[in-house]
Amino acid sequence: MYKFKVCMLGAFAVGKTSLVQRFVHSIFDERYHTTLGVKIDQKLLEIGGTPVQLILWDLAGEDEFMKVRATYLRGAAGLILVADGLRPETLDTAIDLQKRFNADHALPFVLALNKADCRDEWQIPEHRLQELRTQGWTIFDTSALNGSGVEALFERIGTAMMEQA
Amino acid sequence: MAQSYPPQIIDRILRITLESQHFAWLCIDGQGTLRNQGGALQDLGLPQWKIGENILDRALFLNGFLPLEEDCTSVPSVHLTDEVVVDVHLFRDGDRVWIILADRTEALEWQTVAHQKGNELRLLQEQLKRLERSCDQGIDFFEALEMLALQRNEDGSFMILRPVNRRFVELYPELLETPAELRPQLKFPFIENFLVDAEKLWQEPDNPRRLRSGPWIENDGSGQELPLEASALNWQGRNLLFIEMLDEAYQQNHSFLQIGREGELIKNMLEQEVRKRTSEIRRREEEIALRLVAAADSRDDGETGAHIRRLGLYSELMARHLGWPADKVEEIRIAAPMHDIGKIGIPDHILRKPSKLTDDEFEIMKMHALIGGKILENSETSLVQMARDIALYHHERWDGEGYPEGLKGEQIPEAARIVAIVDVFDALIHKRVYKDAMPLDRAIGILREGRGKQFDPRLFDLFLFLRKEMAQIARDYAS
Repeated sequence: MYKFKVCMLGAFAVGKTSLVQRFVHSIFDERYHTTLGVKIDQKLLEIGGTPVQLILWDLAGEDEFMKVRATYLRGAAGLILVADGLRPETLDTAIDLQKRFNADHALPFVLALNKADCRDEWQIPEHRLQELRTQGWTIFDTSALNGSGVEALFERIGTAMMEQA
Repeated sequence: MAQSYPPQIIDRILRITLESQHFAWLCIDGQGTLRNQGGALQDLGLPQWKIGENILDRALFLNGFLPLEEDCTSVPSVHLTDEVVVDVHLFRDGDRVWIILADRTEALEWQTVAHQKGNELRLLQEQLKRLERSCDQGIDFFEALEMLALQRNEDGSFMILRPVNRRFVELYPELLETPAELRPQLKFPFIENFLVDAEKLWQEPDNPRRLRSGPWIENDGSGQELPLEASALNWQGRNLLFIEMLDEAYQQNHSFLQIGREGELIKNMLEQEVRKRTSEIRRREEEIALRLVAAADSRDDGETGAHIRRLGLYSELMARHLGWPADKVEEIRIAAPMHDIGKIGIPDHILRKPSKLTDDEFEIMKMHALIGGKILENSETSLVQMARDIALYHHERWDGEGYPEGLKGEQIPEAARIVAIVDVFDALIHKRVYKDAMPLDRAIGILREGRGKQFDPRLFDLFLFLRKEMAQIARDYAS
């Protein structure tokens, strides 16, 4: 069985905790609860017939008052960057985190553009996403609210980590 | 007679409760002599013994030279010098008084953290009060502090420094099952990660630093979140690991953060709403402008709805690459299509003449710039002001040979200089009743001849740089 540590990174209030809650516990809470510190959850899934245990490190969202500690990423096998489609500046934060912690793409990573249930109101121009795709980014539209794209997101990072293991 | 704390309790307070990584630890003995006991005043940016008279006075009060009915006190955030700020804690211990100076200089520079430290100080005071009660009741210090204290064994396992707080037992039942050989790293992945840093600290026995992990959250089994923080310390040759429950201070910090971030989200939402509505208004303005301009231009066989739309988009592209502010970029997209609005005042027989104009007719045709300027003048709206500049000056030339005013170089508004280029470009590459469409390269060649004469050379170079995007717009909006 594979066992991988995956860190959830992104600006505050993009839905990192909600994505983990949806994936691990199949629940969603509409209220916003900011995370102060680190929450760790686990989920066992099967990828191509192989059991894979994901240890999900949900790190406090980054803003001007709080920065992600590099030591929290120690031992990580993959990263899930999360941005809020409604807040373009959160994509900048995700890109910045990727540059700071994984500039050489040593770790497999995926970008979750969350709040896909409000896709009509998204503010991130398609050309920015296209630019990232051409740089090798894998991008998923996700909604922690209705669950769309969530399973696929975690399976993708699981597969990428297996390929690299 | 004031109560004295047992020395081991004082020792633990000093070692465990001090938050700051920079602190000094001094003692005034029964004869009033000040001794440095640990830490380094130099770490606080202080010369030896220079700790400020106000602190010494309080210490002297406390050790009985002067009457003060307290056995512990705190003097938070004392400015010892212009640059050094410390929190001071004083404890009486028999005929001695301990003085702890904790560096707060950096903390005070960050208001949010300072607030947090203030809360922690209050919490510390509460803990001291509880400790006082605990001493009376014979309850262990760690029990009172809701802190799990572990000592690292040589084989990497840990033993409990008893007794154990009840809430920890609920969270971590193995505490009672194997109290001498615990491996919390197997229970808590967070601890596993933290121990990497802790081990480094423990390999430096003389390092007095207390290493903190930052908070993490466990589920207590009943669905409640339990915030915890680990710390590591060297103490008298022993490697100690502490795990604290962060209830009160954490909840306060969490509330501050929650409120702050909710406020930030509301601000974001409002800004987004403003952007959305502004954009809607702009779209409405643009549509009205385009329809009116199209109506005015319908008399001119050379001008089409697609042409005026393209002109707006070419101009927008150039303005964006020039680094114009977003609102101005939007404005030129709407204003550029109005460049020929003055043709509304040109008689049909001249405007629609399929052959070359006579000199007199051309003089009349040139009037369209002035008429356009007149139609759009005296507006207080920046969009219409820009449209007026474009309508009036888009036939001016960089060398001063244009019309209607013969302006030269940068006397010509930049918006008009942009439109001057793209208007000719679009006319060349599209078919008119009196001419065929010209291939792109040939059109560029002709335009090149106007660089520095008819056109601003800097803007023309930008136009050339953007030629692919320009051609794409021409294709996308061909009709």
